[in-house]
Amino acid sequence: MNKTLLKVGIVVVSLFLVFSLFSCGQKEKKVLKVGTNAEYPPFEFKENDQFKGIDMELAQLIADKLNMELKIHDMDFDSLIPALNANKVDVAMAAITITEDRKEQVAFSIPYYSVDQAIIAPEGTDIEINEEGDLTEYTIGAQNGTTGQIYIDKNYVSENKMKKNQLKKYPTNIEAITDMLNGNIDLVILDTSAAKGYKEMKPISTVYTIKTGEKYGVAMPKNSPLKEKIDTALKEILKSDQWTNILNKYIK
Amino acid sequence: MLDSIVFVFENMPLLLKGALVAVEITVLSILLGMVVGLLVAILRLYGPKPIQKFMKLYEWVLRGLPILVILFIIYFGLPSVGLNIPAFISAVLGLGLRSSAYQAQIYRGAIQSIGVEQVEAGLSIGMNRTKTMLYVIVPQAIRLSLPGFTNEFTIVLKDSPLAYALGIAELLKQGRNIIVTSFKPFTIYLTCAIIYFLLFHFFYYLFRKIAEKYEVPGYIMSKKS
Repeated sequence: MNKTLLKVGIVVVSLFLVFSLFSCGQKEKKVLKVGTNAEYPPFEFKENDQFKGIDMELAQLIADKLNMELKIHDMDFDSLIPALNANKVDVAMAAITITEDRKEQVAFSIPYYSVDQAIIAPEGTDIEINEEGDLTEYTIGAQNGTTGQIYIDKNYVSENKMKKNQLKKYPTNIEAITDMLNGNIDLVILDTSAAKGYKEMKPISTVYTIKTGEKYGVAMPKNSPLKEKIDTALKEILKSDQWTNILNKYIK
Repeated sequence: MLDSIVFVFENMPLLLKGALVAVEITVLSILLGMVVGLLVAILRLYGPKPIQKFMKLYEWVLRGLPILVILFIIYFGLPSVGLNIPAFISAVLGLGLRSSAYQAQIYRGAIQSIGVEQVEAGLSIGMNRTKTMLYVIVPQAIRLSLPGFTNEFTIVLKDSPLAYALGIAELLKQGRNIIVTSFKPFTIYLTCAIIYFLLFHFFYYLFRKIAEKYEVPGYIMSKKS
């Protein structure tokens, strides 16, 4: 009696487990899968388990224009381009700067936002950066894979103007800024837009701005069928009041 | 101090939601590891020679790879050969298959620790080999393998945060999401640590109780250890 019950129990449990695995893989029609790295306020972050930020609201607007259902996949920033190429997501929106190197691997939409690189230090610091070359005297932190990190790597570390250990790479800006405030590094390089967001949370100040004039774009796999539709949608959105409202909401 | 406590409680629902995902990943991975692991253990002991060799290789390779590499191969690597597996299933597959290699060793050790005399005894009273396995060896082996299994379960539980690398919103990832907007790494990471430890403690205690209940009398003395 007991054994029969046990056997039935085992069968029921294993069936349930098998089906629960299958249900994970079900796909619905017309879903726009957007990859992001929700650790980058004010562009993308999570609040009360909801995706928020400029990119996230823009993604919703694009999905509406394309008449698709928005589904957001949160992952590491480093993983976004591999995820596009592995077709895990349709597009990636994570304050991604359009660069030549990235263009070799993915396609970009028209630009939707423009930033420079900010060099930040703890508030009340005596560090003074009068020209870019002064950076070589300090240790700098950056989020791995960002244009800030690549900029320092390319222009200073590879040119032997800085030692390798003067550039410390972190999974996100949070770790970089925390480490700076703990006194382990002198400066952090990040997008001006992100620096503004963090200033409201932590005692930091911008000591120098490198005018890079970078542009953010929506990344997608090469030959993506969505490219034209997204460009058209973006052109309409960028002209609209909705876009101005979103920017005003997140960046003061 | 009081601020921090209030802050932690405000965010507790999110963290607990993440903890639930961590437990889901762990339990499913362990079950997958158990099924595959038992199969590997039995095939490695009683299968034909080439299969025995292959199973040995399977254990050897999976034990020799870092879990993060396994997860990245499954999630980011396999799509280039046409196998696109969703993140959650990738995490369960990676953790489960890795665990199967370790579980296979636990079960094999348990089966081997039961003396040949018992097989001979089984055969001598007219049971065939399959029946001897099923009614004499396996029931004891399962009970003997419980302490090792408990250990393996807690190891998989503690490896489950690696699913974060595939973007799964388990406990650690939820914690990081909260840190992004609040900038309180110490409070949140400490809370995550406490939750992981309580989960570890709960499951360890649970399996230990089960192990004590089903220990083979006179064979091991888990109560005193």
